[in-house]
Amino acid sequence: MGLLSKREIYRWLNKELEKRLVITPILDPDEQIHQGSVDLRLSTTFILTQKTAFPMMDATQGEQTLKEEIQRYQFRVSKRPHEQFILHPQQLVLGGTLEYLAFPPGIGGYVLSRSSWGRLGLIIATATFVNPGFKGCLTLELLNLGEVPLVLYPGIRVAQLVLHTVCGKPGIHKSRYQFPTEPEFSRVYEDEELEFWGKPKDSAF
Amino acid sequence: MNDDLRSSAFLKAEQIFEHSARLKILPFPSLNPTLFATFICDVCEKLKSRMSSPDGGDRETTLIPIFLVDQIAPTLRFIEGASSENTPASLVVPVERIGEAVLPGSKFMVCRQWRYNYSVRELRRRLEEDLKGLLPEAEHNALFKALPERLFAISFPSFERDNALLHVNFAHEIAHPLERAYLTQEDQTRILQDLRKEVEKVIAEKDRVRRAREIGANVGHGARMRQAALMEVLSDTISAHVFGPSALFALHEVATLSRSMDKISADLHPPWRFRLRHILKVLEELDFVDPRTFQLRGWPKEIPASISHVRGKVDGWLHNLHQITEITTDIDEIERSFPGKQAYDSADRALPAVQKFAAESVTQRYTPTLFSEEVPGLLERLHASLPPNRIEYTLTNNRAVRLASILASAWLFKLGELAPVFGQDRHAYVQRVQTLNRLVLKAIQLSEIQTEYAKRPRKQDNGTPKQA
Repeated sequence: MGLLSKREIYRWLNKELEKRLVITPILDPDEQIHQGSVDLRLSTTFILTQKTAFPMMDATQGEQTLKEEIQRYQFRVSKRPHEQFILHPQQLVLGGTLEYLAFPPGIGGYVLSRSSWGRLGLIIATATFVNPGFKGCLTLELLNLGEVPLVLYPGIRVAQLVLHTVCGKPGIHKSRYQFPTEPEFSRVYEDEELEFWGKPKDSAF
Repeated sequence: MNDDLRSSAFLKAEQIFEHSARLKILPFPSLNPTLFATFICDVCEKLKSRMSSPDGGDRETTLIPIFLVDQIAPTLRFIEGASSENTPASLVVPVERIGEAVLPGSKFMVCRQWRYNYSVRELRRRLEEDLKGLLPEAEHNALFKALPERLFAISFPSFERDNALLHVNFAHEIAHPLERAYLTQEDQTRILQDLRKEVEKVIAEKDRVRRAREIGANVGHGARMRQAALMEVLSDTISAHVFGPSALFALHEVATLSRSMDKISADLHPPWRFRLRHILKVLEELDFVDPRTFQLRGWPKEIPASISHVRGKVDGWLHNLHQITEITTDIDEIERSFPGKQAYDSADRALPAVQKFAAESVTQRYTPTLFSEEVPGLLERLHASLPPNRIEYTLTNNRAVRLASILASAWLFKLGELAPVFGQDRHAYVQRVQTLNRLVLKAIQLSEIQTEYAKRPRKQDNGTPKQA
């Protein structure tokens, strides 16, 4: 397993379609593709938290209840290109990448904050690993750790994707998020064992 | 005017003003709904000050509350229905652009409606007319200066928001306002005289007064039938010019939901079978469909293996559709009806003129050449679960594609690759169609952003801007 260099990234991006690493669109390859990473842009849809609608988040309360409560807890906002999105200090918002990605089975990746935005306090991902075989737009967990509100715009380069090859024979990736094109609500309720750890029906403890 | 009425009117204006001000700040996918909401706020402000003004006459001030409730309040639903949340947001700007190309000087507001229907409605003219009596001329003119010459709300069935493929029907609605332009170039007197002659042959009533009355009523009814038939044909033709074969696919999807393929509807719309037959003929004339084999034209000589099966399935679908249009039960129905037969005979004679008018109204036509260049590559992308936003041979050898190609590839993918899934696993079929719609809406968004981004001036090494 090794980190892909700029030259290798270009090689994977130019392969025939079935074997290609797809990042579409790369609006400006010169500015976006670096030694070892590709810059990703912010998309137009955001998922916000409606704190007043929800007393707390207990992930173990059963799939149906949790599903409904997550939908109630979060809501979507869309912005046009050139329209501001203000991220306040300590606010967590889900955003998405403008780019749609398709990873071949032999490539994995990590999404990281771009350091220039990180220095302003913007963290863009807490769940950073991208599985080989993933297809879709990535959901970014945007968090402002700074002390002043940050003005964001759809299209700005906030994240970087670090790519690497996979050792051994690649398997088939199965994700609970099927070809997302926008940020997705959490589907933590699909973790079967959550109920056991939270409220088991019959337990020795 | 008594104070009860005055206070009531003032309150209505205030409520509508507040409501429009709230709507104005909703997130919209384009600027047009904000423009209209601002206009409504301005109208309310003017009317409120008119009611407070000492020179406002009783007549005007009595009419103001009626105008507010009857005319202004109902228009708020268009603004609300145009928010990003309620619309297929990425499709809105391209649809507005098509509208502005077909009807220069007009603007469009894409919004949802709860009726299962696509429709179009002009928002400016009636307001302009009715406000004339309520505001001084200078104020009236200043208000309407802020609005485009014509502003249309084009509505889609709310629960079809994400059904990007079906929204090809927007092109049909955009074309409806052209009706008047077409009709003014027809010799209406001669048409009515001809229709009258045909109607007279049928009405055998001996009482002269009753006969005259019956002839008059049937000529009127027949003229409306003729007009409705021609106008649907005009809009379908324009839709075919703008979107090519997708116009047929989308029309068919709506037609399948109708109670009858053969009857003229209560609002005098022609039978669906009649419209499908006509649009198929237009596609043959535009060279999208082979008139002998009823197969889709425009495929490259060598179709990539991953999508080669799509061609056969789509041709099979077209063959079935051709058989549907070969059945003439709609024509039998029309032939039996009076004055349907007379109206449709007259409409038939006008069809070439309607088609010519439609062709001349579309400046940016979708052609089989564009289809051939773009659609197979986009189909390959859909097959690989990628958005069909661009032909990307390599990272640097790529090019933008047209909205019509994105939608055509999606339709072919649905008919050729997804339709067979329905017979195997209905749940999987629904999921795959939903994914297709998501990919198409994403592709439209990306294609728009790519086109805009390419216009961006870039800095050269010495810091001076250069064209991308």
